[in-house]
Amino acid sequence: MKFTVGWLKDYLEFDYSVSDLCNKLTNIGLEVEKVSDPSKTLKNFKIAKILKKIPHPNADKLSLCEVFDGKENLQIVCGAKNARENLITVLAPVGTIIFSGEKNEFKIGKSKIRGEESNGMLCSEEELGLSDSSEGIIELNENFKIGDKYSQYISDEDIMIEVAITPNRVDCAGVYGIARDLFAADFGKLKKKKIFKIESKFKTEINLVNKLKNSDCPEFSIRLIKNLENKNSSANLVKRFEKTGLKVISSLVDVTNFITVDLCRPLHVFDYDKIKGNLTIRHSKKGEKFLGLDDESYELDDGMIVICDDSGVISLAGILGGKKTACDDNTKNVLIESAYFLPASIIKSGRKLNIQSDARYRFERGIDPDSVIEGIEYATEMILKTCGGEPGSIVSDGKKIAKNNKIQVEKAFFERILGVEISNQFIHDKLNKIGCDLEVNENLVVTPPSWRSDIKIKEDLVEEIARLYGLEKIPSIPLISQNDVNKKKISDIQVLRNKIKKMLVSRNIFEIITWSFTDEKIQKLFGEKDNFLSITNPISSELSCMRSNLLPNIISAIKKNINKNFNNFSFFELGPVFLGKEPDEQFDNICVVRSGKINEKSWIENERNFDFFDVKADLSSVLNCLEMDIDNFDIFRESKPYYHPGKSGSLLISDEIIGFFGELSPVILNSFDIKNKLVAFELNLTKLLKFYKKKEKSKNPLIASQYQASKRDFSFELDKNIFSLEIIKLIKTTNSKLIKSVKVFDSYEGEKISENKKAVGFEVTIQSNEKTLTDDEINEISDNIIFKVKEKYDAKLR
Amino acid sequence: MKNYDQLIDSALAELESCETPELLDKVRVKYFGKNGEVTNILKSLSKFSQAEKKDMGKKVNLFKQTFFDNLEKKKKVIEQIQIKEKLQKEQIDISLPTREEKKFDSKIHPITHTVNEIISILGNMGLNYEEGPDIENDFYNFTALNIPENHPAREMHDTFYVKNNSEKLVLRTHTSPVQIRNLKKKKFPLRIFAPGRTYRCDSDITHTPMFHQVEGLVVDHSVTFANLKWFLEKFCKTFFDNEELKLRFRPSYFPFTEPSAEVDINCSITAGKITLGEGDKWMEILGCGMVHPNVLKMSGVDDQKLKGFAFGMGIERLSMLKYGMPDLRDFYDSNIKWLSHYGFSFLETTDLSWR
Repeated sequence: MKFTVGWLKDYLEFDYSVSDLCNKLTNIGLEVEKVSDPSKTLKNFKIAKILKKIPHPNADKLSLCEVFDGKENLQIVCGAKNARENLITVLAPVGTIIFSGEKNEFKIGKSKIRGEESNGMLCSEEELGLSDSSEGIIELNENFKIGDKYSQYISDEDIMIEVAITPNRVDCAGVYGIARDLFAADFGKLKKKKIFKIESKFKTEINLVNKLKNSDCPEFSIRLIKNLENKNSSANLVKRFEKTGLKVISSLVDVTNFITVDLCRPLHVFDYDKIKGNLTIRHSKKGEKFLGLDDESYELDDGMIVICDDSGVISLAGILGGKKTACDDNTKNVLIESAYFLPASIIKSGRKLNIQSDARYRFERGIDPDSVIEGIEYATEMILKTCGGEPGSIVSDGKKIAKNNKIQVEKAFFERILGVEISNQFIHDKLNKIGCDLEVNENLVVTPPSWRSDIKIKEDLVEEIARLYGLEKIPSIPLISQNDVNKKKISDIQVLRNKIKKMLVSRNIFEIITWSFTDEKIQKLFGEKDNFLSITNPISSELSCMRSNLLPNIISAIKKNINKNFNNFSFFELGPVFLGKEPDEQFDNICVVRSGKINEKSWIENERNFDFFDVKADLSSVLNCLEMDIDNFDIFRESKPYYHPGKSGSLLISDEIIGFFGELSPVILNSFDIKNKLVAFELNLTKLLKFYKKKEKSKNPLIASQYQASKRDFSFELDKNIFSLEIIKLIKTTNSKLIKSVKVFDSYEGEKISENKKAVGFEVTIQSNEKTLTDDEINEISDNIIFKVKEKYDAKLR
Repeated sequence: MKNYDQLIDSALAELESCETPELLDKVRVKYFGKNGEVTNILKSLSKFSQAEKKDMGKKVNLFKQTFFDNLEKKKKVIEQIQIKEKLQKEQIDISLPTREEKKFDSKIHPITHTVNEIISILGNMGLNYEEGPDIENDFYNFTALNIPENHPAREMHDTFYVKNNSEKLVLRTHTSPVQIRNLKKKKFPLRIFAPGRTYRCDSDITHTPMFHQVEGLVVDHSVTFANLKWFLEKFCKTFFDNEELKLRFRPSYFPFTEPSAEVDINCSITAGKITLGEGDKWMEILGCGMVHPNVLKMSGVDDQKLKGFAFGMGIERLSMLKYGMPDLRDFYDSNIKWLSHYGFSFLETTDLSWR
């Protein structure tokens, strides 16, 4: 909502500064978004007169002006076509800053232009920030005294303020409403609105049928004005429009736009001679066509409010006028429309057709239903003044909707909500000033004014009092902590998530956060069928569905960095994936992807790529964070098609798959155009955490044997497809008491061994907590190990 | 026994002249080996008289002691010399570069770090960490928050819809639905906060289709706007670690609070750099208000008995104001240089196990 200070002063008398005004507006809930006050930036500019003008000797388009600034004569090079002798204009003397505070600001210096000295600049309106017009230099009349500062001549009409109107405060989408609210906040004195009652010269003979008077359009009024001339609007109005960004069209249309902003009373004007037959207000039918003033053709739906003549729809009520009956320069007879439409209907139609207009903005937020006749009279007055003509009578169908919403509020209620005592006198005074009627008994009974449909319940009254009292004056009072203060505020799971993140970062993996969305096409590459959730209105095709897997986004992120020439790094994300629409179908997943080399070639270390076992170690570390051991999980060779079939696996707990890990298949990487080898793991953290058992605070006693440990190595020849982990588990069971650890120290496949076999070396540590074991005892354990492994896996000892 | 005295002298001299442990051992064998000269003397003692035997034995023992003491001393000296010589030879080029450190020390994402800070502060101020789903139905995201179907405020939220046949599903446009989920549990006093992902169908310099918010809700028998002011002042001063920070509460509008306010913090802006807690410019950081009675009613809570306050803030914005990232969009660009620069070491970020 934009207005000039001069416009505001039509309704409010005050003597405060612009910055006081802005602070007040913001403090009462009308947040000032922009102020354009040229007097601040124009202090240096001076009124000056061109005494002489001769052509520039070295440039056709430039001239040399001799300019008098009140003190001395200056030579100035000027390019404006309208520069001429005896013209009074505005001079930016040497040292002035043009476009101060803007990106393109510059300082006027003493300079030579094409070899001729120039001591300042003659300015256009644009250079003063007064308008966008850079057509020639400013032309001033004799009222401007040469030598004066130009800022002395800045008027209140030059100062523009823009405030943000919250959806509940449509009453302030009019300059008068803003004045009324400032007055309620003790900022100035409110002037009386002029109420017009124009005597009609004839009877408006139009057959008006409002079929919606009991529903969407309670009141609809029109008036015909005959024999007028649609002239240009007054200079004053044009200036206000320019300052506040309104489009100047023609006097008749300007009047409606002016009143829309002045009183928050949207109106419409039809060219009476273009209307065919009777006027009907009704609901539209699906498929009806309408050509708007914006030259767009709209196809209507059922149930939109439309104004029709015998030829069809001529106006989309409260939203957009029609092209067919628009006023133009030749309009002689005008029909003014003023009506009240229910907000819900306007919202629905406006949204459906996606039309933004000043009228829609106001109607859908609920303008003053009491303003129908006031609006039509005001418009008549203005039209008669600028365009002449003879006014007819007002024809109405429907009537004012009587609203008598009484709100009862206990006197103590204000303090109960705000936490500060506010005097009854203050409350009464403020409610009166915003236009409420009060009855005072043991409670307060408040009837809000017709223009404040947002005030419905007593909390709304508290808000009115709070903002007019000043939120800054409400004290800060500590919140008293009650019984549950010592309770845990964060769950174990929430703590663990953070612990896992920190642990992964400590393993040199960057945390990234990617969209919850992904590209449907890419998601399908990862083997998902159509069972994922699509977005009805995605922002782009790359973000067209909810991700059911973290990998695609992370791989895309890796690709972006590879493109920037970073190849060796690791990313992880811990975040939601969506396997269905129910809240319990949203899971937290962890996904780690490592790319390229862990070591680059150097004088001290060998080059090495990240491999399967790096990412398995990452997975194992996550499980360790949860007091779990990867070797206690089941691991299957089968994983997902986007992994390398031989270098990947899946992780199971209680027969449920909770994760995959391994090298990514070059096939999937090709579709991202990635040449690097990537290794990854994915883990469903939500599922896994169901199995999380919190360790007791008190730790088990430390058992560290003081007797000597013996190590024995065994090398077995085994079938290729046997997991070494199985052998480890078997060896451990042969003597769980004395076998302390089993490690794989070698794994060999190749020429020295038959094709389907591999040789695996195990180092077994044997130790007793009670004594030093004899050779015989150790040999017995060894023999048993060999026997069991041979027996179960048809192994050969090498 | 003149010979014997000579023998002692020469043995000790020979010891002294040795330069390696091997030579030392040779000397030992020469005198005290199986056929060593001293050993032989001892063997021949039987020929001597008792008195001579005694005298001789004493002398030999004394000598033996001296010899082996000297031998040990000499051995140590030689070892010292040898170690020194060995170390002298083990010289490296100390100008060579170190082992390649990982090119970027990896970092926690600034959102995680900022959320952790918020969790710590709000948790310590007595609020429980709650969470809610990202996909919500229309009721939780709008209706229950006093935003009916045809409310203009729905236009303020550019909502993403999820394709679905039965009910209307949205990606939550704010974290406020978590208020409803917790109000419905009807356990009072209720003090919660809920950080999380939120979505709006908007993308430009200052908007991303996904962003993060944190919601706060306190419902009790006597909660006032004055309490809300205290609470947010304390939160902001702690979060920005700045006791001088000024807060401006400005009347505003949210459908789910009444009265509603937006909160600005003061700052100065010089050459594009924002300094918080000084100067007279204001920077908007959050929205808040007293819970609207309709919100309580719709969750089945007695709005006459219970009152509450609620607040919501954008986590990216808090992060940018505190840590100075210039562009919102970078948070989700996964640029390793940005992550490296604006991220946090795992040692820096808050540990949540304090609770």
